[in-house]
Amino acid sequence: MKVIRRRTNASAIPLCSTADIAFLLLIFFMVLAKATNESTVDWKPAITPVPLNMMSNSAVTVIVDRQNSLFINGMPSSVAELKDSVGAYLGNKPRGQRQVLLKVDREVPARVFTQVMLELGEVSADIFRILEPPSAPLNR
Amino acid sequence: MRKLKKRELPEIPLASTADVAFLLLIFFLVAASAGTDRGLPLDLPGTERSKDLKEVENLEITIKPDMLLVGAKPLEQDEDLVEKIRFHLEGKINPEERVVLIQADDAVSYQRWTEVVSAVELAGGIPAPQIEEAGGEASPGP
Repeated sequence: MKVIRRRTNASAIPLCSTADIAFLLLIFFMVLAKATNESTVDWKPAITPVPLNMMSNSAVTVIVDRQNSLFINGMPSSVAELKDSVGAYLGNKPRGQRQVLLKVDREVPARVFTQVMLELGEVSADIFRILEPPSAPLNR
Repeated sequence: MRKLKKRELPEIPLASTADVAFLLLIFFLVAASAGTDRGLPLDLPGTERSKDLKEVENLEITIKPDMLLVGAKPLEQDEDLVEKIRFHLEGKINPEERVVLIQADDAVSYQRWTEVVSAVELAGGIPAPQIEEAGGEASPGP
């Protein structure tokens, strides 16, 4: 007796797009990690009537939050460490490329923010104050 | 009689919809985080201009929690500040002469300090924050 055997195709999961997915996930988490660092810091920019310039992304961002705590690129730090940390980020870059974004909460007292400015001046940083125009909403 | 053929309805391939949505999500995340920062530069002690500063007599503004001193005189209303600075800077062309020294009391808020610095900028002056070092002596700005 002749037995007819059915041929079955072996099922396979298509793996062509695995690399694409992995790459997209990598980018996603990189972007998310950067966004999370700074978004957790509680600060409101000071308001100025002077026309503001758009700031390009900088290597270093220094934030002083409402509780007078200091953050460098989203990581908690202190005024004592500021000079060395920012200096390490800036390295031997020439003037004009030593951009530091300074984000100070509007309630921070002068004894704190002037000290931060002094330390940044010591490493010859090109400081850009991040501010807000009057028309923008007060709560950020 | 003619038989009607069963025709399959055309379908739009939706396999890549998730990829497209994901790419859009990333695009808006990057766009949102990249374009929000707006601000102004600030010259600080340690710049080359600071060496010449002492030779010129500059206008000095002192910010106290409850009052503002322009030169040695207290200012009645903040609205007059820009005009007052403009008056002081009249006829001064050199950038060194247009530098305005700003001294702030320890308790003054960053918002208040920014308002005064903005007034100097609007009046055409160059704000130079005077920063007190640990020893207590104020160092001049640019």
